Amino acid sequence: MFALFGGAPAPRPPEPDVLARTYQEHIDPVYRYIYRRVANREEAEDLTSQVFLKAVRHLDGSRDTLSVRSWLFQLAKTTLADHWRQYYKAPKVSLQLMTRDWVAVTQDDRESGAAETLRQVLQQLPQHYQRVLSLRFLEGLSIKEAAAEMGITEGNVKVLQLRALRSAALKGRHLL
Amino acid sequence: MKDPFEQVHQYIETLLEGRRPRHFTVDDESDLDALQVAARLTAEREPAGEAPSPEFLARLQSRLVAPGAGDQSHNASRRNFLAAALGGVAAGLGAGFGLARSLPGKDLAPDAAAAAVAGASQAEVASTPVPLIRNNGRWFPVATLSELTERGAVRFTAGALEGHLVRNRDEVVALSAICSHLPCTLVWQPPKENFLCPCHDVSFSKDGEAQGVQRPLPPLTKMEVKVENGEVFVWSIYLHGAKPSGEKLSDPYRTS
Repeated sequence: MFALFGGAPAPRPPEPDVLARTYQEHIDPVYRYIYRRVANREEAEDLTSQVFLKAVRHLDGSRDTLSVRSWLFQLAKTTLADHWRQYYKAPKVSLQLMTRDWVAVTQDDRESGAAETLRQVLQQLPQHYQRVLSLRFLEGLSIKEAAAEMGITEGNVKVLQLRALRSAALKGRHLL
Repeated sequence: MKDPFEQVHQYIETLLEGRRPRHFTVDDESDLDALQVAARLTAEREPAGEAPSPEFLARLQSRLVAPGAGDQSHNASRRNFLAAALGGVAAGLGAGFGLARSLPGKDLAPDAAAAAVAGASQAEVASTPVPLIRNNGRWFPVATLSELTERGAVRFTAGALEGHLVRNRDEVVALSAICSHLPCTLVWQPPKENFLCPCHDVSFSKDGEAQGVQRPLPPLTKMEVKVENGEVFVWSIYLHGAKPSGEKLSDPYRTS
């Protein structure tokens, strides 16, 4: 993770004005990158804070913007991976799980590629999977409302929703 | 304990309500993937939600520029030349900015102390103090090292801060000159080498610890200090019209 910054000697801590400038430059894209993957403000703030607190002593202004941006996103990815790892109980964690990011992002800061990939994946799903995801996530219907809309039981909606999500995840993984 | 299916469902529900989901564990990797997809889809619903709040941005920035943010294991030349200074400086990092926690470090070797500070810093991500003056502060020259004798003290005003410099073993420490009980200005007592509070029968050691008290009193706040080229500096904020001064208070004690 710190390969960009080489080995010893230890980096000098950044001067406050350099740090402030670097922070302004990168905080927004990094926060948004994280937010899109956790979908709530509290976790996004938490994880973003973790990333920058880990990064701060390395932000001494000695690297160009592109390198720093790229490195921060890498740090964000591993921070997210750790976050997700807490949701998964396994005696050992596979390397894949460690760097798990459901949809591979090629251009991290713009991420237009990722949104497009998301759409493409959803379009490849069977109709009823697309429908339930659309009703629940795009239109924000409750389980009850979606059940009424689809003419099935609430229990069925829950099952369908989970299967649809799993299926989307599988399809997305092939795009890695 | 809820069954996994219900928990996954609850996670999705919570996200769709815009709240932070509670933590649980899934047995199946495919469930983990499903959670991630659910999060991606939920985030897509409301693009406006992905903008960071200005309060958060300001808060995090303050945290980052505070001394003690992140890992403290950086190069030694930035610390003052006294080897065990980490005790004085590191303790000041927390205490100097209003955080009531005790940092190990005074009696540890510098590296161990650095690790302890780093560990404490990392662990307290959620409760890091708001620094008072980092962004607008500056180093105020307060005294030369030669003025600060082993058994003496220097009373100083640095910008908005009132303090005493003392030498503790190998460290230079800058302590608040204001009692931690009522805001009385403390008085240095050369024979006893401690600070007396004129308001109560309370004194403070050169470590800033309260002595002879029946109820526990907070220790004296420590300020961030550095020594460069034989000159002692204290980090403070410039008070318009005020200039730093250092008044030597060693034997014999003089009142101004």
